[in-house]
Amino acid sequence: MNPADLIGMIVGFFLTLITFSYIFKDNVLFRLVMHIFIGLAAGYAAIMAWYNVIWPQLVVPLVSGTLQEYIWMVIPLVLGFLLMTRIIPSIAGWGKPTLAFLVGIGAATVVGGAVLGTLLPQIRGLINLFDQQYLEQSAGNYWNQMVNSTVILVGTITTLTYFQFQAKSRLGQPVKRAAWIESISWIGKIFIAITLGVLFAGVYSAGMAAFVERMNSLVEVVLAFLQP
Amino acid sequence: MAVIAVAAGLVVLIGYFLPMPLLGEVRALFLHWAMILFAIALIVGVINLARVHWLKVARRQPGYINSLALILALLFLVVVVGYFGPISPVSIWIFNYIQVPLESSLMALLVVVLALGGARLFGRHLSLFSVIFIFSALITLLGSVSIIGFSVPGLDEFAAWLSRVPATAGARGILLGVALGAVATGLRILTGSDRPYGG
Amino acid sequence: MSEIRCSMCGEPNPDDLEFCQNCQARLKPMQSTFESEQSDELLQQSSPEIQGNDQNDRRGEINQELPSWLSEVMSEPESPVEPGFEMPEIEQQEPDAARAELLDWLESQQLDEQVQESEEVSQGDEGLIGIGPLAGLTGVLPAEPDISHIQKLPSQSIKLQITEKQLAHVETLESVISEEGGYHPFERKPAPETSSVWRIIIAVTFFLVILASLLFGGVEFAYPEYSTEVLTTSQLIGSIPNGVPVLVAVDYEPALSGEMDAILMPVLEQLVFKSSYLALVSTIPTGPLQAERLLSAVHQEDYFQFKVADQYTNLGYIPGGAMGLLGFAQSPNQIVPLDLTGNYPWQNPALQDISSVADFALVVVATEKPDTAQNWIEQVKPLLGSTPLVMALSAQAGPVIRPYYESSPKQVDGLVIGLSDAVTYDNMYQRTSTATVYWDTFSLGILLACLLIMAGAFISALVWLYKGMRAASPKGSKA
Repeated sequence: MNPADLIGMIVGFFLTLITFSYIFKDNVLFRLVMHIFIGLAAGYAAIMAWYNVIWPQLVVPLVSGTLQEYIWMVIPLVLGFLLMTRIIPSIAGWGKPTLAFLVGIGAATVVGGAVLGTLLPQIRGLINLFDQQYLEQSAGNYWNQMVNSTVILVGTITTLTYFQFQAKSRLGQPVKRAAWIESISWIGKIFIAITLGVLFAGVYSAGMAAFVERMNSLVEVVLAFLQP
Repeated sequence: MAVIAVAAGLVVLIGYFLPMPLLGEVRALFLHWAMILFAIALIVGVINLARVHWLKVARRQPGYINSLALILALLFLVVVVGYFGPISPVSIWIFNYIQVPLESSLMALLVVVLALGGARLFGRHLSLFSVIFIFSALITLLGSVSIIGFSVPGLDEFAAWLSRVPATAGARGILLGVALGAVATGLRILTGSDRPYGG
Repeated sequence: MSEIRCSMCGEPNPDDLEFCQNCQARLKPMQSTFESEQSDELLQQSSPEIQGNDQNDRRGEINQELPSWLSEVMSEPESPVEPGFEMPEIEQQEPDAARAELLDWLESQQLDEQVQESEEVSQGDEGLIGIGPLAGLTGVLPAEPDISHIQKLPSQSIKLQITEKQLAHVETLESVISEEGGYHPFERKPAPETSSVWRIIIAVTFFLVILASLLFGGVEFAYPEYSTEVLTTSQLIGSIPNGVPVLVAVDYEPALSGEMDAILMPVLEQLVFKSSYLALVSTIPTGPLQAERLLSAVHQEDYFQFKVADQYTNLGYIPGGAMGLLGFAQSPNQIVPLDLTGNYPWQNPALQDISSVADFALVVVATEKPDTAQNWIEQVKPLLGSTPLVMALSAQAGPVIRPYYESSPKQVDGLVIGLSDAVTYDNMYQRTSTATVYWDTFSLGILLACLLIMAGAFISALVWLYKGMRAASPKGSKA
């Protein structure tokens, strides 16, 4: 093992122990290490943004690009400078056009993606669950798949109903939804509880994998020093 | 400002549904500009982070030592990685032996915290839905592991069915609900009703 | 024959006439018989000063103060005084009879306390005023034109009309105001020592068990059975030609390196084994570094005869999330003109035919976040055409993305979820990787967690039942 890796393993060893010390109590070393981590992460993000995006796609075309590239890049250059005024509170308002541009494009991207990428395909998928060809070609029994498809359809609709919060206010009574919506959303709650339980299991599995990997790295460092 | 947001947004949105060559080129240009501006916004955020912590150091507020460590770490990385390159051996060393151990260890803490939370759930909130929640979690976890020579018959199949059918149904409902909400929010911005950028 | 002068035109008329010969105005006011009899009696009982000359004197004095038209009416000494028409004395003290007449007159003018139905004031054909202070007068110009006759007003309650909804709002507002500024005793949070004790106990248990398993081995766990998702993914990758360009998105944070490296490694190894040219990209800043780490780990594997360094290009970081992905999907060579080494990658023979993401033979996305996976599905998949999309996901993202895989037609063509699928993948190719090395320890940790959660749930349920029984018992209810 080369010296750089050995030093790195020792550094990683102590950083892991300091982070694990948070289980016992929040302490000064843990907070210091977390601030160092945030500084490193922020610095790396800034470097990648400059190195991979701003320098090759904005600065290089402006400095040594063609006329067309130069013209096209003047606008983001101006908008970029306006955006940087957000750092100074007295002229932070100058960055609004840039923010408006970004927000408008972001909103359109979200809307288009949600409609074409999720809403329409998922609704089509729900309908196709009862397609005869799909049922016959499914791995399980035809009726098993029909039952599963029905459960998925009921679960999807009741889950959606759970998130409907229109209600009437009546004199002297608490605001509540109509009785039929309440009963449907009660079933949706069951499906949501199952989904969240499965998600909890997934998060726990991911955490356990990280825990085992970290413990393994601690063991490797100790063994590297103990074994000749 | 609303005119800028709505105009830019409409160019991108219409491009999803009407594949016109000229519109596609303008759309691609706008997206390229947005990407560059996003990178600039990232740098602005980092500079602002440094400024906030620098003010804390300058005013000797409580915890200023941590803020100083943050600023020094940031400067160190910018100088070193900026000089050697983002995928140089130095950068990879910093990433492998500092960032990965720190972040992985934080993730590993979840093992203890979530186990404690799950064990205490019924003590804080015992209801049908909390029972279903814990039951689903336990079935999914136990269904993924099996000791050699010892297995509960049907557990694996039930766990697989649970994740493929009812959990998928709930997830699909959540996805559709989130998509509908995203469409509503996005359309509010594209019609100028909502102006989070100010003005 | 005595004469009476018309109050409207001033022409003299015989006393016995009711209407003026000249203008047809009423000469005498309308009066009830009872009143007229009473007034006659009172007049007769009145002091002599009122009658005769005194009467005339008094009238003269009144005439000086009253309007001319009114004074003319009262100027005729012979004309009997019509009590209903007498104007009240202004200065001189009236005799009792006159006072009584006045009181009667005033009384007749009193309005009811409530809003009365007002009768339509009609002067009829004769122009006589029937009610009000000008009652009995004829030919008087009405105060209001005929068009605005007082209509009968509907009776209305003077109470404020409030709807139920308004009352509910009032109650809500009253409750909010009453709570505002009120004293709310600070709720003491439960002592943290108990939870930290349990946290330390659980942490130490995990540490010891996992450490023992790593050092000494112990319980062996069966590898999971082959899942259809892993089989499909492996077949998909196996079906692409050798040496074709494949886009690999390394989109997971360093926190999940332990799991995601184990999941993505077998997929990458299969791709490298097929001599696929890998174009690495990421939507998070640390993604390119992750990709370099992974490929250097693959390169260290002995059974790879190929130089991995010649088989990939690291395109770097795409900012902007969904926006950046959409732009990249449409024109990757415009969005990422240079790679991380500063070279132009699109001149490479493997990538020179790439003009959009659909030109790649396969797209592999490795991420731990459902949002990132959704962005790839929503923005990139619609533009992929026949190019398959494979996802290597953390166990925490799998349940959310599964609907995209289970939909028909599939939006995700291949899925590898969690450490269990990674172990299955390794077993298919009979390889040992970090996933298989970790599997026994990982499974032991999961089993321990399940036991702890079940024990805690059981104890909590018992405590809850005990508290419920105690509250329901007579002693408990008294306490």
